[in-house]
Amino acid sequence: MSSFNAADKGKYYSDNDNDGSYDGGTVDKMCNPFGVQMVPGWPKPGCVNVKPLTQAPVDFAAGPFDFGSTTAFAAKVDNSVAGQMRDCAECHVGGGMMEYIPVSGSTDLSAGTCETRTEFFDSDKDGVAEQYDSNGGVACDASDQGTQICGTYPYTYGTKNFQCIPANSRQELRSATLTGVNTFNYFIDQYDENNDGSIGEVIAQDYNDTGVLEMDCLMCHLDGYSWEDRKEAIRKGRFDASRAQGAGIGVVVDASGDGMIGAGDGNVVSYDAAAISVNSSGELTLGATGLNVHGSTPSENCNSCHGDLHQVDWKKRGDSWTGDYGNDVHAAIGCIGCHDPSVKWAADGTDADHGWRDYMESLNLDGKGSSAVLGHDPAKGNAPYSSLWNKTDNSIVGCAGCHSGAPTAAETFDAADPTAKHEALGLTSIIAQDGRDGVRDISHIELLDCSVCHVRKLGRGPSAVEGGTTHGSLYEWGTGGAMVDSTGTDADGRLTDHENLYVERTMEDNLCYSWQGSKLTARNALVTMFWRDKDDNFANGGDPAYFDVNADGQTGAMDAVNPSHVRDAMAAANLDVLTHDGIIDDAEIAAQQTALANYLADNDADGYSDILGTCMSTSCGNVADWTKGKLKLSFMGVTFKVNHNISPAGTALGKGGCLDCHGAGTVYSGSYDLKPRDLDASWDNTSPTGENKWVVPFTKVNNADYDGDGVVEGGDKGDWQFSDFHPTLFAKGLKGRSIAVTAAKGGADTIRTIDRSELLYEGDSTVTGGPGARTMVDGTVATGRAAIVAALDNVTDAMHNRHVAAGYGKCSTCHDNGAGGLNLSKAGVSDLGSLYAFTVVDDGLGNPLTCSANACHGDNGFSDDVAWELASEVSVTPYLSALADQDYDMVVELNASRSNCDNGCVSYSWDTSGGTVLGEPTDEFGALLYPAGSALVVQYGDTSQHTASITVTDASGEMRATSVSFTPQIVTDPVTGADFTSAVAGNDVTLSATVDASAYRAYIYWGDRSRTISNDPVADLAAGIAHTYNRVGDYRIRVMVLDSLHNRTDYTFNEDGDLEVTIN
Amino acid sequence: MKKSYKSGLIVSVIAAAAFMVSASAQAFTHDRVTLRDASGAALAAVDTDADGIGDAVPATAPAYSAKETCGACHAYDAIERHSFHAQLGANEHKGWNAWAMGNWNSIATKGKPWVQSPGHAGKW
Repeated sequence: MSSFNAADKGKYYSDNDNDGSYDGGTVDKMCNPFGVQMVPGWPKPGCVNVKPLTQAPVDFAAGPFDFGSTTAFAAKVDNSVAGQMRDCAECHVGGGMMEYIPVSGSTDLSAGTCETRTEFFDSDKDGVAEQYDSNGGVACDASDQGTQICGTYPYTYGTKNFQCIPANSRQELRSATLTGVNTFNYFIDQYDENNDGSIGEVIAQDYNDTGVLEMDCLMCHLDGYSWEDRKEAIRKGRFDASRAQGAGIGVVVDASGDGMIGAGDGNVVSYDAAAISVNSSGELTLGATGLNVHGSTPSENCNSCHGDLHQVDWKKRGDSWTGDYGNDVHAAIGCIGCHDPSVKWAADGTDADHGWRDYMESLNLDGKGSSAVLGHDPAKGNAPYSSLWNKTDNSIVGCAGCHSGAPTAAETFDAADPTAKHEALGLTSIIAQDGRDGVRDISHIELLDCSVCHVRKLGRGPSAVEGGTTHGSLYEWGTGGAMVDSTGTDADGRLTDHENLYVERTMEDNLCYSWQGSKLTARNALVTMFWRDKDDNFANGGDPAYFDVNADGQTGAMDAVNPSHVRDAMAAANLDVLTHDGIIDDAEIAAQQTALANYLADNDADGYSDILGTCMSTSCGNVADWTKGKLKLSFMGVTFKVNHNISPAGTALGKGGCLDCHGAGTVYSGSYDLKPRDLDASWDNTSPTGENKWVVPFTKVNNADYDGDGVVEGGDKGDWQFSDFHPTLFAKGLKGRSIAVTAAKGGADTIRTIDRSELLYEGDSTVTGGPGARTMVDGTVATGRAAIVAALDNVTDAMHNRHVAAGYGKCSTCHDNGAGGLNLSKAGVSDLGSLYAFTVVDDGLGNPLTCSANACHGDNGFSDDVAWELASEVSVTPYLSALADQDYDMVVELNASRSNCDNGCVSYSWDTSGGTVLGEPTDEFGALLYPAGSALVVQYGDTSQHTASITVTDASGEMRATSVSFTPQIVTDPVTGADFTSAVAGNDVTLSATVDASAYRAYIYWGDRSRTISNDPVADLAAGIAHTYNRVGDYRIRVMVLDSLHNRTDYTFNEDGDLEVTIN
Repeated sequence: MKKSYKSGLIVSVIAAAAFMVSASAQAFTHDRVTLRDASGAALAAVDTDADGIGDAVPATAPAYSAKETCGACHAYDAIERHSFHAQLGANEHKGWNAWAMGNWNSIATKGKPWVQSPGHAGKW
């Protein structure tokens, strides 16, 4: 890349040789916007080392874009920064651009100046605080806040550095000087902030009145934080005050009493005297009851924005964590149980303190971002269509992180290892393909994301009568994945509606599937309905004679009508969203279209006529002018990944064998309704000119010479396939080749019921420009979707046929019932007189063994030509735990309540290994805590090892047993003595101690957010455990010692003064 | 006084999981934390007995600042800069006119100099 060339802007290439320059296409290849190398043939590789063909220095000199006037602002903006604070920030925690604005000229961010600041602290504990001054004004390097050039000061937990303030990075909005009309100092009135009875006007934003949205720590970390109370405050621009109201320690104050923002309204609070105290210095403090602040975010706070009814992941994925969490057992470990960032932090195998992204990276406004290291973030999955710092994708624990024979998570919660079951079901056999060449090279486990089989969204939740909490939905937590109706506002005033009853969908067993690379994943197809200008004249380049509905200077391309304009147009015509009454018909669509056209053209007060150029209203007689402004409905579909609300293994797809998925109407095929559950929608899409009257496709994809004229035409009428789904809906492993699927166009003129296979395979992949025919693993050559589905439907037969072809003949050849037939039923498996004779006997518990096709074939795989061994299908999985009582000697709770029975557990038979059964566990009111008979409280007479066993029987009569060994405990205070010494040498400390011989593990918390784990504390502490502090200060060390029975003893400086060290 | 905990005998997978849940659900109480306003000044009580030292919660007071109150002990700036929940794309800011300068190849930015980040913040 040399000098900036405006003609090449926006073009990126894959720097395949990573030499930093584009070689004209020899090795380096151009990339499309979706990160695919634009090369002939299929599959097309993804881009690597993506670099711009030309790039000017990032422009921070000019300052935020000045719209020039509030009229232009209204025409172009639907939600500015200040508007987002009132709308989006009901969930967004603040900080970032809601607190700061980049400073003009911000390019070199390393130069800085020490802050001028004074702190007081009673270091020598003589009752008088000493003063500590920063080296204010001294030049410093802002990229390294670890240095002490700005000075240090002590505080309760050690020493802190005074800060180096970057000279050119960002400044607080509350003190920024904002000029012109930009997205930081103006917003469109969405919630009648000025209390004038109308909305839609452009209002100046004054941060002196509102305060700013600092990152509200308590929104995530405070037990009981109120999302609703915060929302109420931010809706009216009371940003500073929103934190106290959300935390429940105070309420916003309308100082002027006029119900609108006035001086001081946004940053004044009436504090709750019950929650606030006054200290001896006359300062307000949190009261004695304090706030329950969790280091690990309570799941309820996550769900306030993610999983509750109508929240973002309910909408996108049908996630639901409401009710009693009974819809997913994983709720028991909380959101952070899987989204634990410490796993990523410890990626190098050490118990690292933190994995902060490099400080400079977060300061460096170079427009790129970088680093794949998590900061103060929960770990992330890798859901497509996410735009939140995707460089940290896949940092989550993931299913295999716990459920695996080789778990990667630090805490696996002793999750079950399903490997054996998967093997028994044939899922690890190499019988599938990772491409389209027919070569079997992967197993089903490699082909399928866990979600495909294990997420079924089962369970509608309890009704109100059954004790559930009703939210007004027809269903409980079985709802979600709602359609987004962007033809007006919701009841709360948000710019789109995804909450009314008629956009809801039912999630239970109602999922679709899409490819993520070459992996099949469970999805929910979310469809958004919106108004747009279908004026696709790409040649005019902004010709003012054409309609430019979003005023971006382009009359072609996807010009969606600004949602704020839709809102105001519908308000002017007294119209609601199209879905409001559960019916969408021609009359409703026509009324909205007319209202929108009239509003855009006639609202001269906002200057739309001047900006948009073309009159659209009926008064101009131009509604029927199909060559210019064309207000149409479009539907955009996105398949959002579904990976929460895991169904129990007993209900997973595949439990019933291959045919759970391989058969007509199962996973990859079958009807899938894009339309909301209770919505009726139909219209006549014909027009006098033959063009689509109301609904037009969302976008065009796969530009190729479909008309066979030797030229690939672009533009409006070019060689395209039309689609209502996001262009990144790719076929298996074929990035760059979109699957075109219509959602709301066609003969039915409604929101379609598609076949699931439409989202997975092209109708005809042999069309011009397509990837060509695909070979199935059985050798079938499939030219498109129908053939692929047919082959997959019959693949099990094909497997059997292949087995026959390999010389094994019919099943009955080997396993006949003595009369030429096959007898492999569960009730009595036998094989009389054949070449592979065997005799089946019941197991010791009396269960008849089975020889189902799944079990036998899976045991040795489908692709391994060896004799199959007998395997059994298990539907009862007993679990037994033994937990020592904490109050009574030698009392143990034996608990088998977590046993899994596919058909329901009906009885429990105990062998307690002696002891006296005291009863079953109950709550304080005497109610049983577990199903009757599934748990016992037993008192033993000694502390020797015992082995108890349980036999669990399900409704079908199947029985399984398991046992547990344990040692009853004497409940005494197992104080283990220790005497610590600490030797300080510069920044190095060596901690030594003699600890009780029973100690088998010790955790040393050094007081600087780091810790050391010793798995041989007796020896290690005898030899001395060393630690180096990075900063001076007073540190209090905590040592936690565990013995082999998990008895824990904590040592702090209160017990031993050597556990407090000072680094000078 | 040493603090001892009898966590009991945990021998089953389920019991172990239950213990973990219990541990992670433990709450920590923040009390007596001095509330500070946006300038860093401690919020002042009202002096009802005229002894020169505030002694009561006033009817109204400045909103507490998370940056100054929490930041008195915790590294607010570092946390805010390193959290995607706070940044929402601010750390990916591509300049004030990303398309014109060739800094961003998103077709969504063409003709829209007010679109400046692939994250939520900036896509207005």
